[in-house]
Amino acid sequence: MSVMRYAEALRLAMTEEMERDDRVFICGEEVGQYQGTFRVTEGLLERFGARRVVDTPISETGISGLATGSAMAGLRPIAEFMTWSFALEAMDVLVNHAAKITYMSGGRVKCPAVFRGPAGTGNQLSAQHSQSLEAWYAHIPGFKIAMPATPEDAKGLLKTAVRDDGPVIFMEHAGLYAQRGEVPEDPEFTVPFGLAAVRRTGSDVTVISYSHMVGSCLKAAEVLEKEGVSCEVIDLRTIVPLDTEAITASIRHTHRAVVAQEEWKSVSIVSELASLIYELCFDDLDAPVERVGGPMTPMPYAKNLERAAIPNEKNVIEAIRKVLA
Amino acid sequence: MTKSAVEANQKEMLSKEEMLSLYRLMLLIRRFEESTYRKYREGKIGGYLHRYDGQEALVAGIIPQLRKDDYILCTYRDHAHALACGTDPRQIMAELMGRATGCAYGKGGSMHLIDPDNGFYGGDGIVGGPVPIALGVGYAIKYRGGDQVCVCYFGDGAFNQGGVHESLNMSALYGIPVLFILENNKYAMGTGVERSTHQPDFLLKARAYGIEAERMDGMDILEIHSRTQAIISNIRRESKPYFIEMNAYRFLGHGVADNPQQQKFYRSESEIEEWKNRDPIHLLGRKLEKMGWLDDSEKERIEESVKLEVEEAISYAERSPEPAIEALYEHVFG
Amino acid sequence: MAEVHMPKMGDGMEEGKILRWLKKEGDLVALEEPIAEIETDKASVEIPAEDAGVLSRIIVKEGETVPVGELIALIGDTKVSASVTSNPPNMNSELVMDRTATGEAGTAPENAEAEAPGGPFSLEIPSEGDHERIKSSPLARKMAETLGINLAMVTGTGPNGRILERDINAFTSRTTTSQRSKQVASPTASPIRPTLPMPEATGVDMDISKMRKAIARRTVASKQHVPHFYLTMPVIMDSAVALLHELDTLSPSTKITINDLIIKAVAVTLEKMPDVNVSYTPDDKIRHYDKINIGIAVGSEEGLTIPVIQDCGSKNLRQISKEAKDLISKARTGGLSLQEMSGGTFSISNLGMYGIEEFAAIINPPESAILAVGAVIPEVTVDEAGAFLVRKMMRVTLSCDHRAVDGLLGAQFLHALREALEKPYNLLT
Repeated sequence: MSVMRYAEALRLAMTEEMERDDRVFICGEEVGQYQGTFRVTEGLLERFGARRVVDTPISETGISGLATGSAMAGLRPIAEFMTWSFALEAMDVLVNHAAKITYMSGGRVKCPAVFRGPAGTGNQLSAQHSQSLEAWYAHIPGFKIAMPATPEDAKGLLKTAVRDDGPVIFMEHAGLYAQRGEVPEDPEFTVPFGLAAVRRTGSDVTVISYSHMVGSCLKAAEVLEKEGVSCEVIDLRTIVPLDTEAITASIRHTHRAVVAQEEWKSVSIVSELASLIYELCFDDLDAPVERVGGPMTPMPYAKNLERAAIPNEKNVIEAIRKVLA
Repeated sequence: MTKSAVEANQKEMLSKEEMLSLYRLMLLIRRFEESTYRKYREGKIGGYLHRYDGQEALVAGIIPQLRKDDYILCTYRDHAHALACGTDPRQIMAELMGRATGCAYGKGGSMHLIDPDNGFYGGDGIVGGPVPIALGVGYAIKYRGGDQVCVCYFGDGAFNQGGVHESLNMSALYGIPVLFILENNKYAMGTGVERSTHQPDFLLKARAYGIEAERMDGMDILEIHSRTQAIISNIRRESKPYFIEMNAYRFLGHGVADNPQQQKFYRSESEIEEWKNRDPIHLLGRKLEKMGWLDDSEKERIEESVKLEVEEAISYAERSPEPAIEALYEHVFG
Repeated sequence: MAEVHMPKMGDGMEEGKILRWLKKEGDLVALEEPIAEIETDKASVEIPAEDAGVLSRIIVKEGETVPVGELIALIGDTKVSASVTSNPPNMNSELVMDRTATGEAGTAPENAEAEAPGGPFSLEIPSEGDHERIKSSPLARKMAETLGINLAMVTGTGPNGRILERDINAFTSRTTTSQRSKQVASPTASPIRPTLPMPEATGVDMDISKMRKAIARRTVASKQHVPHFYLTMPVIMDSAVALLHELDTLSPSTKITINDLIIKAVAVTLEKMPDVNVSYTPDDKIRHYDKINIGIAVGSEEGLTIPVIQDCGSKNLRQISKEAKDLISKARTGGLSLQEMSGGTFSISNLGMYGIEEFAAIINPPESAILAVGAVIPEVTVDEAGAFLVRKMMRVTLSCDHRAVDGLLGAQFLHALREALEKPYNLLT
């Protein structure tokens, strides 16, 4: 174990995987010479050379095609989007090609590509750069979706993503890159997909989240603990595959659930989780599921407006109070 | 054409057998396509159906000279490419009929024929779709230090999609061994090139990205064959993209729904007739006759063997089972 | 949207007249529930609804005559959720609990009826008269069912008065065992799921049929909601047995049983005493039925069914006997139609053939009484003169819904029934 930042853990994962498997390479904007927009790929060009750390033009369709096509031909690319907002340029390659080629070919061609980069809201980045779009990808059969909340998971999940035989949407959170945490140094350490982590055990309410929002949920749980409320906080870690077992097991003993994420609330992962909970745990519920999500507005710039648009621990606390009413 | 290509052309004249086999391949494609239409009308083939009639030389002139470890990508007008790659016609017909024995086990259909064992990495339902993929496939070749080529077919309509431009630029930037074949059949569905493309000189565009480019007569298989030999070996040697605009023509409508009545909105019968006078199969047939390599009885013999092969494909497909219902959930994830 | 057409009620019928709409537009209609009364050239009959839903439009007005097949009304295809089903006449809260707890939440009432042997009235089990659906969380409902708690007794402290887990916990800790036992179902009518933790002893949990589940639900509901009391009456059966023997000799091919005779006797008695042929409605009224429809409890491998002999008042002993025979044989082979299990106004359960001397039966709601019939046994009795005498005796026990049939009325009924059975020749008319 050693303490490192989330961004460093991601870099460690990629370094280890590139050392382990020559088929693994990185491509994206500013990943090489510039050392990575968020320093995630720092030093990798020097270490692995331009063949394996490919600086690309600002061409998200091209980058996605480079990754998808090379994966179809047997490589294991890691394509970095400078932010997931820019991946909107590449939707056709991602949705109509990467996600579907395995199915369309009856399994004869696979696409073991990782698409990664920062997602999420914050930093007054306003409408086009501050958003959480995982629900778009979760809607498409074929993608696996990982959204780590800790440095340890950043490493373990990214390594699993690289080793996966299908396309993986790997959404990091810009607000977490600097977060420090213990990370196993073992190059064989991985975190399996589809296994949620119980970040805090409790008996009154289950709070389900992932990525940056897990921190807000833990803070909310701390605040409420002083009032005698015992919250169980579950970090899903991967949206697809989803650990429904962890969700139902927890709700079976708390009987109440709050689902929270910073994405827009309508037609979202939290909506999906809520309906899933109703389907799987109806008789166990003592209150309707509460969803925490962003208001249905594009992200505003002004600080006060942005604060109102990004869900935080206060929203989680309100939601928990509501289900405990 | 480069000097070395001219030399290659002179050196590598096709034998009688080779020419007859190209003639047969083109005829197989034509008869196969005709049969797909019959089966479509019988309701045995569903979805969209895009036929390659008139463009046979574009695949027959190039694909047979490729190696098994090369890669071929194209759009949804893909039956011909699969046949040229050597995919079993029975598997193609079974795929078109949605059978478990299809080349994609009935999961893909007409637009998504695929056969990686024969280097065919798929048709693609999106007009500009194969181009970014070809960039990646080509990068994999270069990455592994191989001397394969990736041949990427796409249409004049695709050239107005952004991803094509991104990919042409990047393939030149990285020196990627892709042979881009622009199947300029003059129509993006029902919109003529002159109505969709302000600068119709596609060579200019490829060259703007620093890609060597030339135009060929898409009706003349011998020209295509002889001129692309050198180009392909150059790509293998130098690992860089090359661009060919094929001056071709789509004899039929865009798809089945684009029937002769519909086509009157955008093109004349006389235009179609004019192009049909240069039908690539007849063109090669006449040349072969002049050379004394093809006579009526030989023609009939080829016609008969093609007919048998198509009939066998149909009967195989019709006898084949539909996919097991469990297959619905198979191959969703990698 | 389901269409209601003028039905052909008989071979010769070509047109029908709407005498009376029994439902008005906007009313909820249960499957098979009568919605209109029509007059044909032969009789006036009720038209049962062929679909459940809301009577959304009446097309043919009262007094109008239309040909057979003509559209007369529309029934809206409403997904009748538990919260809005207040008719016929009111969805009982306990049933809501039952249905959700067994994983059938949201099932339209027709489904619930289809599996309930009691037919169309199965949702009419009288409640406490509370027209409002009781708001409770799914967990609270499940707990209430498991513990056998009537949610109507529990005060909800959640949002909008919703009953929550804590309210059930508070209720159970407040209620002493003896208090609770008053409103907990009697052990004979144990709910589908055990009220207490299962013993540790090992065993195999077998799946049970839909029918058994339905019976379980109905008996629990009956015992929990209907205030039962029981009256037993000895009946001297010598004459009846002699009569049956006589009839048997006259026409051995159509054997008439004691059971047939009892059905006829009950029918005759109910005619005399229409106050027993009633139901207590959830809006605190007593519905008097026009016809005497007698259900006969028939046990089979599958469980209990109660086929109904319609309109016994207008049928003679032979007709009743023939119908009873048919229905019992169908019940044993599972061939009863929903129609044949519907519309009962009084039931008879006879275990005499198994040597049971006397027993008390559970009322089949919404009926107000059920007659439990024991075996005919020779007994030493004392006659009017004080002499010992061996007589063929039979004991019948009437279970009554005290809200509709009180002790006096029940006693009068049994008295009249005894009269009928002891002078059986009157039953031959």
